[in-house]
Amino acid sequence: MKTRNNIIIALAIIGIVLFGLVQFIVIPKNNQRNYQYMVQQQNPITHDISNVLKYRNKYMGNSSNIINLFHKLPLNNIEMSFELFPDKLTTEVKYQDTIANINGNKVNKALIYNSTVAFALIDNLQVINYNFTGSSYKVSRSVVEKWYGQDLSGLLKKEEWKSKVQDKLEDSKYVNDCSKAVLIKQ
Amino acid sequence: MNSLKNHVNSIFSNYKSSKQINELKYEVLSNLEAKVDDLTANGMDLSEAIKKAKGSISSIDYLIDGNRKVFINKYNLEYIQIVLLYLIIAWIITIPVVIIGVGFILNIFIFICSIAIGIKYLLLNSKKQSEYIQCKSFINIQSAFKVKKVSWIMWLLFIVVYTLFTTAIQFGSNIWFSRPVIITGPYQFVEIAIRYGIPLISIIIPLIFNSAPKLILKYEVGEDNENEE
Repeated sequence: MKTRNNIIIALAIIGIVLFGLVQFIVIPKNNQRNYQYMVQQQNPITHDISNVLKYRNKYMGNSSNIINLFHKLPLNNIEMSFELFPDKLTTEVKYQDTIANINGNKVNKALIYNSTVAFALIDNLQVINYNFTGSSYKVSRSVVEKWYGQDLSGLLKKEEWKSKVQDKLEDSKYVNDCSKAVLIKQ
Repeated sequence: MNSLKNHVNSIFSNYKSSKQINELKYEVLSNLEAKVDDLTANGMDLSEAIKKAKGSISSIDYLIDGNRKVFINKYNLEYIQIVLLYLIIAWIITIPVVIIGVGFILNIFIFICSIAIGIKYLLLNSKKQSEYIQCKSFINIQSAFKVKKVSWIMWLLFIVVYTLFTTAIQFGSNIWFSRPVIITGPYQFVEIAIRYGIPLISIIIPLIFNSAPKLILKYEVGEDNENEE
């Protein structure tokens, strides 16, 4: 019994040290990393494209796929609803907020980025309508393809995506020109 | 004679009704009635004869098959020590699992149980009076073996059911739609492995019951068994 008592004491000490390490060092560090990752996913420049590649689909009619995709893209912190028009190959994303509330520049970057992602991943999606409270935009595949000068699914390689889509959004003149060319105000 | 019947019922009150117990009850009652008859035949007053007959048998524990007289407090102390040891091991195993966000409630539950059992162990261990240490009582070793067997069967059933349940939750749609299972990386693999592995912690329950028969034999009161450590 004495030996077992010693084992119990030793294990209790190991347990307390391990518990302290996990609860006060490892978990807070993980939470911080997760929070940082979440913040990065809100920004088109730091968004992780590999995280949404699983939503690649031939058909825009797969509503759960398209809804899940938009919930992993920038602006996902804003309440939104969806309407699909398979006969027109069009998706409507309705954000429940005004552009002024969100910040105009942030919205422009996010809409350029989200449209590029959606067209690159969903083969037969042709048009996306973005509705905000008080304003709306229409984005079509042909215009976006013309802007990038290539087939959008070809951009999905990590390096290409970074250099041709994400890094460009750091330049405010590029964002401005792209918004004028791609985002058609309704 | 109703009073004799009540007395017999009271000394059997700790035992569930079974064929063996009912036979034993009948036998004890017959013996007591014979004793009363004998005493009254020799001129003793009936009420006094009943009182004397009742006094001749106050416990039937030694008559029950499998009952072993043990140093009950020593037995309890070591049993609780074993429970504490298993709980601490289970607690330590579940600590790293919390990192991936599963098993937190289980970890806290085992931690609280360890604290409660630890306090109980310290309290029992602090009692050093010889009267307390030498206290004896009966424990049925056959029941202990039965409980051990049942606990292993129940545990195996639990593991099978839980594994099927986890498979249904994790891969139900893959199986139903014949879609391949895709594990995207080591993190997801570890998460799935932990979901399957965490119920195995419950093995401490049959292990605890497993210790009982060994401890009964260890602390059984016998001529050459003083059980002093």
